Amino acid sequence: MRDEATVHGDADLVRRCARGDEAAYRELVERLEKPLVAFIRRYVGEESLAEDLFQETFVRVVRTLGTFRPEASLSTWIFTIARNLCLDHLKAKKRHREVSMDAAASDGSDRDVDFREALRSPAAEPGTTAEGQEESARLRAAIAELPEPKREALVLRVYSNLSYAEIARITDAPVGTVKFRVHDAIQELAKKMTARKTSD
Amino acid sequence: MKCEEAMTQTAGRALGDLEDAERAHLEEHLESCAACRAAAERDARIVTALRADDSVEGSTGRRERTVAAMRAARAEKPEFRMPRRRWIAASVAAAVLAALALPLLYSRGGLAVDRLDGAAWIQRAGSKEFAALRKGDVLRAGDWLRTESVVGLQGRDGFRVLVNRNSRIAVDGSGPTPILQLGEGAVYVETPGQAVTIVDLSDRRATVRDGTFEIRLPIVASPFGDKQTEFLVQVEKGAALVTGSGGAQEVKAGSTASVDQAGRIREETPGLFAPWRKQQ
Repeated sequence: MRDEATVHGDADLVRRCARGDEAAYRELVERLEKPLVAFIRRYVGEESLAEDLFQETFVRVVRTLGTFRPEASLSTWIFTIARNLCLDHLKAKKRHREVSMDAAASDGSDRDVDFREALRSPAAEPGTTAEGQEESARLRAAIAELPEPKREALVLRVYSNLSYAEIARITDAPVGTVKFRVHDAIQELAKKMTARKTSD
Repeated sequence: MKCEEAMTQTAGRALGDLEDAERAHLEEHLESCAACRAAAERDARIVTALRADDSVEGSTGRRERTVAAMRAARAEKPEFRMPRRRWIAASVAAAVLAALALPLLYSRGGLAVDRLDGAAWIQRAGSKEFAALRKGDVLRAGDWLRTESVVGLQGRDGFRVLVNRNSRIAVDGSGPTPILQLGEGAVYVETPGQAVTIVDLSDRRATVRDGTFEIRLPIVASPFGDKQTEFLVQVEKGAALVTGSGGAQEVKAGSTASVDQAGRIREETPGLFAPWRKQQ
């Protein structure tokens, strides 16, 4: 249950955003930046696309502020918008194989051609060891192979740190189902990682 | 507790989801069952690895670009309707205002397209669609540009940017220093007076003033076969202040600095780059 101060705080922030208050925009973006980027990045698996979808989420927020109900949680509402954008993208990707706009570099440099692909590769994080990076890459690959409902529940729980109740509202699924999906995803990942280690 | 039931709770245990009574019941079973204990330890290792991998960094560039897009989205009023006569009068007034405001646009980071060797696309702030770029188009804060060919952009006071083919950049003019966000590819910057900052998606940045610079994101192979990008700054004239995770370093004319994925800066031999800037 959300406390009254949170409800009032959210409602006030929405009112200020509706007036076009840039400080309120900043507050909102800053508040959700890390969990939302983490969710989108792991959900769509492409870093540069995740940046675009993050931005587009807040554009949608501005355009649909009038539909926000104060009794709802602002972060849950915004995560729902982000999830719908990700789903739209993934569905479109399934329907139409994207036509690459990348043309081969005419100077023959191999390095120019692969820029987009490189940006889609999981980025290494500062301070991680070589072994840690290898393990992270394996883990991310295993997450990408999870079925969509399990992947989104896992990412929202672990990377965005949302409660099962919040995830249930975002994904429109019963709390028990969400819990089952997250637990099942952990066990599936554990099996995949063990299998990969064995095959190495 | 039977093994079948215990196996359904090991992931919940690792995530801290179990009630006290459930957990105590499970722990009792794990003490006497090696197979379930191994499964529980395996799940715990995965949760630890997942949490260790949770490392999104905040980015000023990302936040500013997003706020600029929100501002632009609010400025659009798609449901607004105006009588035709008033619409014509308003259009004339808007055209006059636009002409008067053009110099102001440049001063706020607007960049006009003055060279277009082939195809390129622009995504305006707040829009999902990419439109074909034309000579004379003006890029403003929050706009994204994708290039298939070299594109030239002209700012104020001799500030000029060439964008390599297969590149992606965004413009952000909301701060005192113009900012170009380099998503991929390369840019060549001439800035005789004002300071300009070029930042990539990992927040590696170079601030340059009074000189000519090429900044690009080439690929380097990691020992594990995955591709990573470096942030390379080659200074032809003037000097650049290059910033990684460990601080800033000045790079003088004739030198090249690279910032790796971990944010470490090192000097390199100059003259690495292909002469892509020549007119085709």
